[in-house]
Amino acid sequence: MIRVLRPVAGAMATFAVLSFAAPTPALAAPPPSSRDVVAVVVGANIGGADEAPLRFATSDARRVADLLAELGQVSPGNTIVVTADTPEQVLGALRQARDRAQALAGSGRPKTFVFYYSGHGDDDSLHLAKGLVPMSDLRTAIAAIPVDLRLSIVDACRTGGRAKGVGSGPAFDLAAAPDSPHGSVELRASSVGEAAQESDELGGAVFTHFLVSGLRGAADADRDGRVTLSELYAYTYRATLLRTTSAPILQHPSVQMNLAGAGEVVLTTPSGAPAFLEVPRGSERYLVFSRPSDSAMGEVSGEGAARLALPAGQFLVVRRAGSATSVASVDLAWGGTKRLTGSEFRPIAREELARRGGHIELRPLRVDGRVGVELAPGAGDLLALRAGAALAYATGSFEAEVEGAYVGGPFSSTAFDGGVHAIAGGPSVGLRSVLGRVTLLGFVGAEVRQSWERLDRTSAGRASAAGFSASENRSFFAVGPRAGARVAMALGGDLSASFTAYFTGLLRREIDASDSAGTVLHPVIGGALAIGYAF
Amino acid sequence: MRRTVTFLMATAMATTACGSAAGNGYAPPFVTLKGTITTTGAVKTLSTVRVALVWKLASSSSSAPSSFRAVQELDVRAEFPVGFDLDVRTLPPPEAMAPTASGQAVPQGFATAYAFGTLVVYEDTNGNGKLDLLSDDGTMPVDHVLGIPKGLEIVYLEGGGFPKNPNALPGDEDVLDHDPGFNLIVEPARELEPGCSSCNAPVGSWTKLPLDGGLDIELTQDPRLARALCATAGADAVTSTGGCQPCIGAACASCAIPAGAAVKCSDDRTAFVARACASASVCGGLTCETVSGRRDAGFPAPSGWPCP
Repeated sequence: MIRVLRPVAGAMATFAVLSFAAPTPALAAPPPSSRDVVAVVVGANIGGADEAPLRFATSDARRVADLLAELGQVSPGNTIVVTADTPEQVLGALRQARDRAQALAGSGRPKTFVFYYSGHGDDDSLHLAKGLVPMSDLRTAIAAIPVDLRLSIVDACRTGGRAKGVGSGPAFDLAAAPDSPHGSVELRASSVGEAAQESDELGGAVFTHFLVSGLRGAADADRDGRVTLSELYAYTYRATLLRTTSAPILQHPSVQMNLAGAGEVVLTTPSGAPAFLEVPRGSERYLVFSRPSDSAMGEVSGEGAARLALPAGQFLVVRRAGSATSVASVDLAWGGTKRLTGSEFRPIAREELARRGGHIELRPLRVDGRVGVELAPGAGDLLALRAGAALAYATGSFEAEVEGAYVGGPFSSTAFDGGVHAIAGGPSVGLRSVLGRVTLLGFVGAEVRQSWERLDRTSAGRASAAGFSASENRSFFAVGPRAGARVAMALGGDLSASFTAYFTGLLRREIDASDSAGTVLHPVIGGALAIGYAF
Repeated sequence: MRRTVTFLMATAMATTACGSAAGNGYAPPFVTLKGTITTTGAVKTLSTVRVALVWKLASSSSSAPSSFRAVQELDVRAEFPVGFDLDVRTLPPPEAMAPTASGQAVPQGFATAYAFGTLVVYEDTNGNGKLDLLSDDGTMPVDHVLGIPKGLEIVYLEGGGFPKNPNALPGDEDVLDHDPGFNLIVEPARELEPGCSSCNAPVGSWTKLPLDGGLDIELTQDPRLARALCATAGADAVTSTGGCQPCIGAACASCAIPAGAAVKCSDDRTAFVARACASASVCGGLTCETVSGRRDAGFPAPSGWPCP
């Protein structure tokens, strides 16, 4: 289950205001590919002095900018990305966009302007670290840009009358042809009084995450290769609401439309993407991360479109099915369509999947610190303490590890007391099953052990008084097979706890009661507790 | 299969080449007593006999009876003569240790405690795998003692040794050096000498055997061997009763020789000594009656003279 890590109650709300002018007469407004698009994308993690810093505002802005370039046909030269601290940075970017739009006047194609803002705000202004951007100034600046369609997405707090969120201010006027969809559309991440939330798992604001995913095709309910405004809203509403059911605060995305004309407003055309990922039908959901940057690309479910548009590249797909997590690697470096099947996913323990600020890391390596006891029935060193460390590598159902440990304990026999110290270790391989937070492992391997015995005669004083050696030092080598089982539980973050029970059959040369030495199988059973750190 | 064999061979070589562990029963011997058992033929029907190391328990009172404890035993195949190696893996039990000088300072290098022991060859009649020692009231031995090394003392010393006494007489034990640990000492036989009724004259001298040398044990059916089974052996009593007074001229009284007595005569037949021993029980005190006589060689032997 995905956990919403950072509800920002009362401090941040996310909503989108879409205002557009759709000049084309077709059933659907011209897709971005047939338009000239100019975009200003603003991210601001730092708001007012009394507002908690956001974690993902700037990274959300970068995701949107990437998406516009990829599926919105916005050329890099026409995208202005701003990490804003001051109002002048935002207003200056809008003036720059106006100049570029004017430069495109002679192209003959419809023109679209896209404004995206992620940060703090309220009904009247955007909150930046060093000042406010009044909404009136923002609207004026956007209205001055000479385009046919204006699409404004403001991602900020919305808490209605409490003046902590950007309210449902007047939408931007549309300059649309009479037979094209025109009017105003206001899409919000939450309803009045609701706080929006960020999620460490998703690496961004919940609503923005699904906004991006929807634009990549997850919202393409009719699978026609285009994502329309109505599809996007339906998708983001359902996905955001479902995701926040496990969070302290529900988010209900809302929309207000004031549209005239005919046709749909097509926001993106995923069918034009170079690569596609199709997931199996079912209730599982799939998070897609690009490699090697490990940035979140989007999310898609087998219940919906089951198809996500992607740039060409390498991807890691994380499948969530109940509490179980599995991953698959996808190579779409040459584009095309990849149809994933269930068999391509390999289970993974939670601690092996690290999520950091919208990025994901696979952590196949783990180091365990272990401590336990060993029991050697029939041996002089009956009980021993074992402490050591292991380095493990896990991939799918397979795990391999190398362990090194110190083993020490008392020695007692009919004729001697003393102690045994040993350095032990060896490799092992195992098969595992990941069941939510719990991982079960069965393993086989080998162990080598170099031991040192210090033996003191039980009657050492008398033996010494009679001129006999009262003690012996012996060293010996042992080797043998090892098998066991382990149950591990994710503790959160990179840590896990585990218990291992094992059996080792050590072959060693041993002197028996008749003073004859022979190779004997020395059974050892043991148990160990461990704390693991995945990296 | 080939890889498996290779792995097993490599494993065996590795474990062989890198030392040995002490097994749970590992107890290297302090000393190994070697010996040979011979027989007069009386015990040939046995398949196995056992050899036991028996320690005489120390007593806080010199008047208390002696006690024994068997601490180590060994099965020996009864195909005589047969050699045996008895590994002594434990020290004498603490109750067998006696101080060399109670309450007194012991010179540097001298033993502070000692113990005496011997070997017993026996038939494990009841098959329980151990030598069954009898108490005082035991009338019949459970196990059948077949032999003990004649005159053997196993002397164990702690804290030092017993250096020999340069002034000791040949019949004294301290003519020998006693080392710390185990010593194999053979006491010379002592026999009554005709004409010296109270003398137990040593035959030969004290000798010390090497620890890895051989011990000879002859199996006989001497019923007195059963006394080796006694946990508490009664003190012996030797009495001299009657007999012949020395004859002066022809005036010799008749000699009353106890029934069953062993008689030893002098070479010239003018002197004898006779001893008859009896015990109320196996472990009871041994009571011996000794009779001796001497006559003048110039006169005929008196009536009942045992050395005609």
